[in-house]
Amino acid sequence: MDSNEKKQTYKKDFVVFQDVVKLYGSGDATVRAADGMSFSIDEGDFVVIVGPSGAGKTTALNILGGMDTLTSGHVFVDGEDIGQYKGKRLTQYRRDEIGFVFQFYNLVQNLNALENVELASQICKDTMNAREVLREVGLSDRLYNFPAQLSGGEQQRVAIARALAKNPKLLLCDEPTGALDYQTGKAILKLLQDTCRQKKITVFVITHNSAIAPMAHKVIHIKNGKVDKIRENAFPVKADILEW
Amino acid sequence: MKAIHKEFYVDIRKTIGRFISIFLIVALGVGFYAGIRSTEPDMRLTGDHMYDASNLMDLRIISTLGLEAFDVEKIAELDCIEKASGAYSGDVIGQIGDNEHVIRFLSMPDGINEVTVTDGRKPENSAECMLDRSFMEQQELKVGDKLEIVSAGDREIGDLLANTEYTVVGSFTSTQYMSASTKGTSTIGDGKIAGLAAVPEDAFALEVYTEIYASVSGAKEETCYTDAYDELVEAAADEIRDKVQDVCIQARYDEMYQAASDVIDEIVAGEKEVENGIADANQVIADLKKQIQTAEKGIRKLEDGISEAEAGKKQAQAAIDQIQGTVDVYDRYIERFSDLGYVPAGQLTNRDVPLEQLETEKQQYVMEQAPYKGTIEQLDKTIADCRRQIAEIEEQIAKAEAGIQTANEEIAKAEDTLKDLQMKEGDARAARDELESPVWYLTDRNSIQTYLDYDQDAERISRIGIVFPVIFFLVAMLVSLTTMTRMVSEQRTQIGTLKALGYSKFSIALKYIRYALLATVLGSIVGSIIGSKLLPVVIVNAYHILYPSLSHVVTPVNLTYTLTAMGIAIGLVLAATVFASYRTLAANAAALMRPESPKAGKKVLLERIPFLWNHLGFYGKSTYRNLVRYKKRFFMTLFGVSGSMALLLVGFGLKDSTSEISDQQYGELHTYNASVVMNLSTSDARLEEARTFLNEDNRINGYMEMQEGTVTASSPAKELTVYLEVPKESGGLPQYIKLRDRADKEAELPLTDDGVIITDKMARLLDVQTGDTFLLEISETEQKELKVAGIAENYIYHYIYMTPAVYEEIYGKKPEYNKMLLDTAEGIEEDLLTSDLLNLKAVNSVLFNSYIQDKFQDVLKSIDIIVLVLLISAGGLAFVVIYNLNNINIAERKRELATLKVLGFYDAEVTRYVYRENILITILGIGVGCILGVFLHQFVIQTAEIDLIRFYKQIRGISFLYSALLTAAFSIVINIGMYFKLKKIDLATSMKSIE
Ligand SMILES: Nc1ncnc2c1ncn2[C@@H]1O[C@H](COP(=O)(O)OP(=O)(O)OP(=O)(O)O)[C@@H](O)[C@H]1O
Ligand SMILES: [Mg+2]
Repeated sequence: MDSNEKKQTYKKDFVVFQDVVKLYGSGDATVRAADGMSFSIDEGDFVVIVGPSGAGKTTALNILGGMDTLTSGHVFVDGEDIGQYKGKRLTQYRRDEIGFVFQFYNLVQNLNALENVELASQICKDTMNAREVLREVGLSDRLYNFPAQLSGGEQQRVAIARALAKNPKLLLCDEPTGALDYQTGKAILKLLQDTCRQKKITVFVITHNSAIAPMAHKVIHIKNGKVDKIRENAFPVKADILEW
Repeated sequence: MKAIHKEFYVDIRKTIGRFISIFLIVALGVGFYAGIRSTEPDMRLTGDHMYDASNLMDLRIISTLGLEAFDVEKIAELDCIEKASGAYSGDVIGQIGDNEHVIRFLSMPDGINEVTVTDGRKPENSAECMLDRSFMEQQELKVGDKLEIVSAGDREIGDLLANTEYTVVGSFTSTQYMSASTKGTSTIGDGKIAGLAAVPEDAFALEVYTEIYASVSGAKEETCYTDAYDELVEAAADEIRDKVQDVCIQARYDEMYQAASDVIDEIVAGEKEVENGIADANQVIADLKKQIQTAEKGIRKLEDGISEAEAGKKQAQAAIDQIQGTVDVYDRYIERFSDLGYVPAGQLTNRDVPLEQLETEKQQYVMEQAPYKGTIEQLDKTIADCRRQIAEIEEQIAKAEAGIQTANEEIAKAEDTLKDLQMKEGDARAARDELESPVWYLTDRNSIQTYLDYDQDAERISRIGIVFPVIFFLVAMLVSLTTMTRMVSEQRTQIGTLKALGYSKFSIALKYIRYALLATVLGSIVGSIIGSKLLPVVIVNAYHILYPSLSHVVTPVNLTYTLTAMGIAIGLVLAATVFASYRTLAANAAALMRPESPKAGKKVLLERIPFLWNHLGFYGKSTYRNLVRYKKRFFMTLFGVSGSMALLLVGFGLKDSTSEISDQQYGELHTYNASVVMNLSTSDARLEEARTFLNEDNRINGYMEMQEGTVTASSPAKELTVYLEVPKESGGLPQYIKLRDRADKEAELPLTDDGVIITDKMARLLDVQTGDTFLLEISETEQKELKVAGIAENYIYHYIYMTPAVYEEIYGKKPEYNKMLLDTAEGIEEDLLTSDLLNLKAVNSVLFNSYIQDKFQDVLKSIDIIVLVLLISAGGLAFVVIYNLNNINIAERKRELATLKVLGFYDAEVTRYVYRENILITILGIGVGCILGVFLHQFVIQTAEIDLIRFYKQIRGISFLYSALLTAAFSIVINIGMYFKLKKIDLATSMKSIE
């Protein structure tokens, strides 16, 4: 896959962080979780965020995903300053443009795999067929199983399928392989990478595993709430040939 | 341990919602239990206070021959008797204004059966009286009104009372007559005592007391209605029977025997006197007869004397005549020879005899005549004398004979008198021989109807008290079960850590037990205090309608019930806690440190019906699966909501049942509009005038005459005071009173001579069916059997309906139609017609059914309080369970909800997702509550029903609607409160970790 070729058809600076500051608490207990973060990402990029624990990775992703509001600064997504969004508008942004994958899957225990995916797709306009997505993540024969009946990797796939079914602009994954073994983790990463390529979705993955970095178009290093450095890979490595 | 201790309070603070849930539901359960259960002893205690305050008698003694001061003294002398007083009572018909009523007069003995003056003052002389308050209120009387005594039944008014007019100087209440509606029956008038009059003793003209009231030593210290009290009084009654009764009865008998003997003696003395009179008269006659004899003898002697004198006279005359002859001879010679002057010789003698000589000689002879003449004269005198004497004697005889006549007459008269007296003597002796000892009747407070009724009411409440708390306790257990289950699973890791640190299973469990225990104990204390202070007052206030004289309610916190309720609550909650925690506690530390594997979603039954399932959508699917998955919560909420619904239904149902009573009774059955009580003692012309008025006034469509009276009916099962109704023509009855079968409303019951028709509640209480018989009291000593020919639907009071023929057969007299039922035209002015009717001399009183229905509305107001209590409890119940359900749901599914939010669900959509479950349970709860409520309502009605009234069993449709809407409203209000809690769920934090 040629990144230059890609970039001709994709928007530049699709996601832009401008001096994003996020404070938690107040007074002496104030924590500067994001302390003037700035970076810019093109559409269709596979982005990996790394950094020490407590650096502010989740904070950045949550703000980007509309799960949290920022204290100051700007976050542009496709030209819109979503940092200014509040309440229903923010929910709508999440609903229409964001797909989330968490470390602990967060599936609805009461719904089977298919229903979990449909749960997401039913609220969006431009959705993908749930069965189709599940087939794509390799779970076409586990449609009617409940989360408790699935392995961790399978559950994470359902979670990814659920995120993808919404046909989001951004797919945000917070340590998606944190709770998985090596092989499964690799499979999940491959799934994410493939998704990014085929569906042309911009993907953000937070990880503690620096070995994953070669997979990304961009690797953002975060430290103390600031972007420490950004590394670009002209030719990202495919997940299945990656070793760690 | 210290760490746990400290953590304990932090836990409570953190889970204050759950803590409050347990606290509230326990408070509700315990409050209801302790409150309703204490109502029974509280009512009794209130009664006891009231009885003691008025010194209500413990024993009442009546005698067939009345009672005397001696009896009072004898009873008072007993150690077991604290006080005994003689009292008078008697029933009269009194007139106040235009209306006549049966009124019971009561004397006011000192220090026993005291009355409470509620208005005005006590009567101070024998022409003043107080009337009982409820009567004054019912009749709208006021102090200063005059009460005129019209009749005292069979006896003269003067034999009973000292006056015929009394001034009302006040009103009173009496614990002996607590009920406003039933003051007892009488043998006069319509048989129903309408009012009571309290008067001083000297207002009575009776010679003997009608009753003696006694209070038993030490009985005041006991609480009435208890066995201890009953035993004490029974012992005192036995002592009176053993030690006093016979003495008094003998004394009374002896006294009466003596009195009878005195009467006989008096008669006998009279007889003797009369007899003596006769003897005297006879003596007089004998004497007089002797006198007559003597007199007659005297007469005879005198007559003899007369004859003798006559004879003497004759002799003397003869002698005179003889001498005269000689004189005549001389005269002849003198005359013949007067010329010569001598009598030649030869003529007489041989010589011439001069005339002179002759003359001389003649004179000698004449002289000789004189003594004889004197004798005659003497004798004539004697004869005259005798004659006079005879006349005198004859007069005497006549007098004596008259005397004899008189004496004879007197004797005849005396003999009549004697016969009379002898007859009287016979009667008096017979009376004395027939003399019977008086019989004493000793009764205790159980002879006071209201005393018994009040006790039964208390017992009824207590029975109701068992059901309601069951609901609360059940819900309390479910609430604790779900809450504690949640607590334990939330703190799973912590439990694991503690275990790993070496804390024992028990010491960890203790934390949860303490948590539950604290909530339960606090709830119990608060609940029992509020419950036992509040509920009895509310309930007793509702009873005020029945017992207006009920005083301040005594509500001590009843430890037995409080502790029982607390015990039950603690037991249930602890059981739930142990059940909720034991499995987690039993697991080993390592297993606990790992996150709990989430409960698997499961296919529910509905999924097997794809047609329905596929139409459900996610909300629906998830909801159904959740319901099945969290059964404890489901049942907790279901029970709570259905309990709430049921309580509301019972509340509204109670109102329906009571309001329907009067609607059914006066709208469907007693369809006449007014009843007129006639004054049968006025003239026939007046009665006719009244009939004419009723016939001609166009406000009156028709009327029916009937006799109404109060009688006592009994069966082995029960004795009841009921109305006896004898319609003049049974054919016309249905226009005024519908006699119909309850089950088949179309089936009219015809009133025939074959038997009587009685009302259904009466049949149930007497335990008789169509074809059975029961007893009717004709007089105090006589009962007759009546056959039940039909059982009619009825709601208020009990009635026996019979035809005039049956009445005549039973009572041996024709019924007297003292009442008229009116069918009046629509839209008339009732007040105007009433006063027009009252203007008729023959009309005693007029009562419109609409008035009774209005009065009934007042009764309903008392039900409102109970409805309100039930409403509040229902609200509390719904609140606790729904709040608790939401609380746990939100806490437990925080991540799930956050996930939805992350996925972009709007708040409203998330809310709907959660509330589906609540809505569904609420709907299900309402459904289950309907069924539960109907049964509960039946139970309450059946237990709460009093003998006089039959409650309507059905709940109106609108009440179902109200209850359902209210239940839904409770649910909605609490859910709205929860919405804000949902909104506050923080996405970033809830997604961060595994819970
Ligand atoms: N809700 C919050 N309240 C207060 N401080 C917070 C909150 N969320 C995060 N922080 C603080 O903000 C800082 C950044 O946290 P963040 O979760 O973004 O770190 P991270 O880089 O994702 O770490 P990790 O790799 O361990 O997940 C940390 O110091 C954290 O303690
Ligand atoms: Mg993080």
